[in-house]
Amino acid sequence: MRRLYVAALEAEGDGDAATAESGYRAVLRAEEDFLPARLGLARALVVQQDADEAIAVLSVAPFDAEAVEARGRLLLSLDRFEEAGTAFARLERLAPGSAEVLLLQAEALAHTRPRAARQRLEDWLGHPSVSGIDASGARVAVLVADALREAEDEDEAQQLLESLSAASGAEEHEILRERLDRYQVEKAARMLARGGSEPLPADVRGRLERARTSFAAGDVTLARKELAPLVRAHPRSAELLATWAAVSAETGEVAEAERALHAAMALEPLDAAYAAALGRLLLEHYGGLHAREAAGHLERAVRLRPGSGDLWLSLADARWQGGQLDAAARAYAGAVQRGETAERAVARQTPGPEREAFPAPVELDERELSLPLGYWVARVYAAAGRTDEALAELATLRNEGEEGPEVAELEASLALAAGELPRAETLYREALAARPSEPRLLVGLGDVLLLQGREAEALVLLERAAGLPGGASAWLPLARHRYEAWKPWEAEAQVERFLAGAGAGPQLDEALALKADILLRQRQIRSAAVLGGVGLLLLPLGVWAARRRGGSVEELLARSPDAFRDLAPVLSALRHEVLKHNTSLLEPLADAVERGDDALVAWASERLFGEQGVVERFREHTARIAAIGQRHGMVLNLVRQDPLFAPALAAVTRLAGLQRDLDRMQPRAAQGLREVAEVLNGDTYRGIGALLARGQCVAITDELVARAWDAVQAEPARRDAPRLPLGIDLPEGLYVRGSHRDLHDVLANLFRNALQAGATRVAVRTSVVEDWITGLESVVVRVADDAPGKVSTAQIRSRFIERGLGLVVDLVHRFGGSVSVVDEPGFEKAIALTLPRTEIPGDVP
Amino acid sequence: MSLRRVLIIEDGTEYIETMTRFLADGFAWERAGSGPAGIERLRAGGIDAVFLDMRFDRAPEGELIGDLDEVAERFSGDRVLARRFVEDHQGTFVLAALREAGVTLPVVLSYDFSGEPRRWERLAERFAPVRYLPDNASPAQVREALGG
Repeated sequence: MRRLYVAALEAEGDGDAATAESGYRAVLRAEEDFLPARLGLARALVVQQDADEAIAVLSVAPFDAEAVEARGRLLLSLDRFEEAGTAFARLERLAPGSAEVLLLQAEALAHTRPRAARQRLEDWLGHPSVSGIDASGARVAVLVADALREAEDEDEAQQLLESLSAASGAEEHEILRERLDRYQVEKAARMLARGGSEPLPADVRGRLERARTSFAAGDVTLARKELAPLVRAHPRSAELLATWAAVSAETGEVAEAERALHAAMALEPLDAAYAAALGRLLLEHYGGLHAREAAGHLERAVRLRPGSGDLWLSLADARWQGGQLDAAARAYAGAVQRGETAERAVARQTPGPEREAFPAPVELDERELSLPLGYWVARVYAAAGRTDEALAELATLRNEGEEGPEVAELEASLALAAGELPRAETLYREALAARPSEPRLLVGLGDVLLLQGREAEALVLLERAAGLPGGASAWLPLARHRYEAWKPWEAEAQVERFLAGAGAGPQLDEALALKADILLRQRQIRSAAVLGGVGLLLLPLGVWAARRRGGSVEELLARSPDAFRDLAPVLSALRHEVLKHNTSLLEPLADAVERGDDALVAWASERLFGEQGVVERFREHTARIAAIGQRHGMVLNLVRQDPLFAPALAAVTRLAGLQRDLDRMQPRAAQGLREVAEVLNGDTYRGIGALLARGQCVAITDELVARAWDAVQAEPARRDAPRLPLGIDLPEGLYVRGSHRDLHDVLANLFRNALQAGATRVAVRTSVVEDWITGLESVVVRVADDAPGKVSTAQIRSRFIERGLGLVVDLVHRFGGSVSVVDEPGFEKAIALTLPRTEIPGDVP
Repeated sequence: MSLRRVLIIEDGTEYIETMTRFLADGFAWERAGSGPAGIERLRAGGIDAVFLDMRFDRAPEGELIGDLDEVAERFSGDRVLARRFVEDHQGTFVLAALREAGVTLPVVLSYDFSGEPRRWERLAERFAPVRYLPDNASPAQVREALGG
């Protein structure tokens, strides 16, 4: 039989399908269940164009996954989609958990049920074995998108390709983008067939130019007044709509601007200007929320006008803000190739969460510096925490002789983050030699010197920086120094100067946390004076010593509260995936050792010491925590300085050392296990839980609300407006999930909207509601105003919402809350933020 | 001494594996992979107590108790957030459903409520008889809680 099968295979290989068919049939007569022969017979029949017979041959083996798959694929190739779908559904039962089946199902369903196909495609992408879109995935994605479009759901088709293209490699990205382009061209053709954009008559053009002149002169109100009747009279002029959008954006009517640009794009889909304007609008007015959508429009603009370096730069900004750093680097490379300088590229970087640990963008002077692209690439890597790659880029630059203060400064910030203080000092000094009056460099060097304990030198530099224009950020390290030197009243004055000069920047939380500590210390000193206690005064030395040796997670959070967002998932995984279910077993495992239950000990040993066991995973997670510290500019010393992790890591080391004794069932292992259990299953487990609970907690206080209100009233746009009082009615003890800065931003956005809409009265009120099933409470914060005009809950949940509201919705979502519109007696309306309440010891029920 | 028959309701198999290995003596363990399956099993009778996990993030959507559309309203209509919420608190959803179905057996909920004493007070009163154990509780603590 084997000879027959080999002969059939050879005949098939030689292209003699008829002989191959006879051979395979002969094999099957002898051995009906020999699957390779059945598959070969089906292939031979297909070559001879007898697909029906091939399907029949394969149908004989309904319980064999390979045969069922072959039948499904054959049916698919014959456009018999329903039957193919049935075959693949069967295949899914025969080979559960296979990613490939999901993709095949998506392909089959595309022709009959496109939305179900989309779901299958997304299931495939979410499968653990699928790391991204490959060539087959891209092919099926295009098929599904085409089917959606055929079903007259062009938006969904476009959205699908947009989202997948951002997650795919370069080649697949090209395939998907090409299809998107084709959609666009077809859309354009359809639009042109209906007449396209309307050319403007000469008199209207003259009025448009007048409006543009008013706009350019800064008289936005007049420009708006001049444009409004023109837009009403000529709704099919892309040019008018785009100008209307620019004016609307300037007056804060971002949703209106967005609508106008969508309309302009529909009328002139092949003009890069409108796509670019829409992309930039989305980028600039939604705080990064719609950066990826912006990137989609800008990418289209780039394709329409690939020679424009400026468009490439905008695209790079959008990719950067959307967290797509590799794509951002590619776009910046595109910009530089088209004559943009990397210096401009750097200057255009918009502050985003990734950049918080780094200095503000370089202030441009008149000189053309033409920084090399490698510098910018290094900066992208640095911001993403990919330090090694950043350093490699910078080393290449130096090898090529491309040195300068910017390169040295970036290297210095990386060295500081890595705790290499002497190197950081050398590099800052190198940069300062070229730019001796750059406050940012003075502050950087001052920070390094403080960390080395060279206070006197550091203070000279920081005080010098604080006296220079743009040097307000120096007040923060100075304030911290005064605080640590137990001079809290001086520290308070300095932190206030920081808040006044640079407080809205990324260090706001840090400054507010420091201020809270300063006020606490003032109270402590008052108490110490009353009690005659002097012991407290010894504390600063200890604090300083700890800082010099590296800090703890608690200290990191006090210094950079935003680090919590990065830490929370790691801490949560450590608690739930590593400790829970495992460390609770240590004590009973000790009992098992003592009674000689070697089967149980072997089972537990694998969970503790095997691949991805407790020991390995605990160390992985703590290494991640240390890396997060570095990213936020602090060297963590978990092994020696952290009151929570130092004993935990010692216990894990002890546990690892017990493996040998456990494997040999040595009775002394039992005692070791019990001691390790006491630490890991006790203090460590509880401590991580407490850290998670505290870090997610912020109090809604009069001070927080008033600070947001004052910040909005002090904005340049309201400089000449009368200061309005704010009605605040908050009980004490309301703690919710979230961060101080996010809550501040949410309130400030709501206040700004109310004032821009003409409110004369604004009030903040709260109530508490409880969910009956989970027992969880929520705090409802209502921001009420008397501005005319209604807004509905549905509107604020939609895309077309006022400037800032998108950000509010996004931030509140991050806390696990929601936003709605409610009636408020005595006011026109109230925006209600429902935020999960957290319990902390000592708060008020 | 008669065996104490306990139904573990969990989406994984960690608890059943641990209990059957470390608390074989005095207990007979059964497992249900979801709230609805647990209720169905309890209706058949023969169970003395329930050991209930809190987080069900591996359960298919169809096997979660809780109206996702209703919960989504609390998250500005976002069903993804709603599903996560229902998964994270599924233990309480199952507990409420058990009581709704007339199951009055003692329940041990595996979740650390020590940081939320007021919340626990409300739940304990509402869904009695129920107690909680932190999710890293040792087998000995589980034995004590289940009265074995």
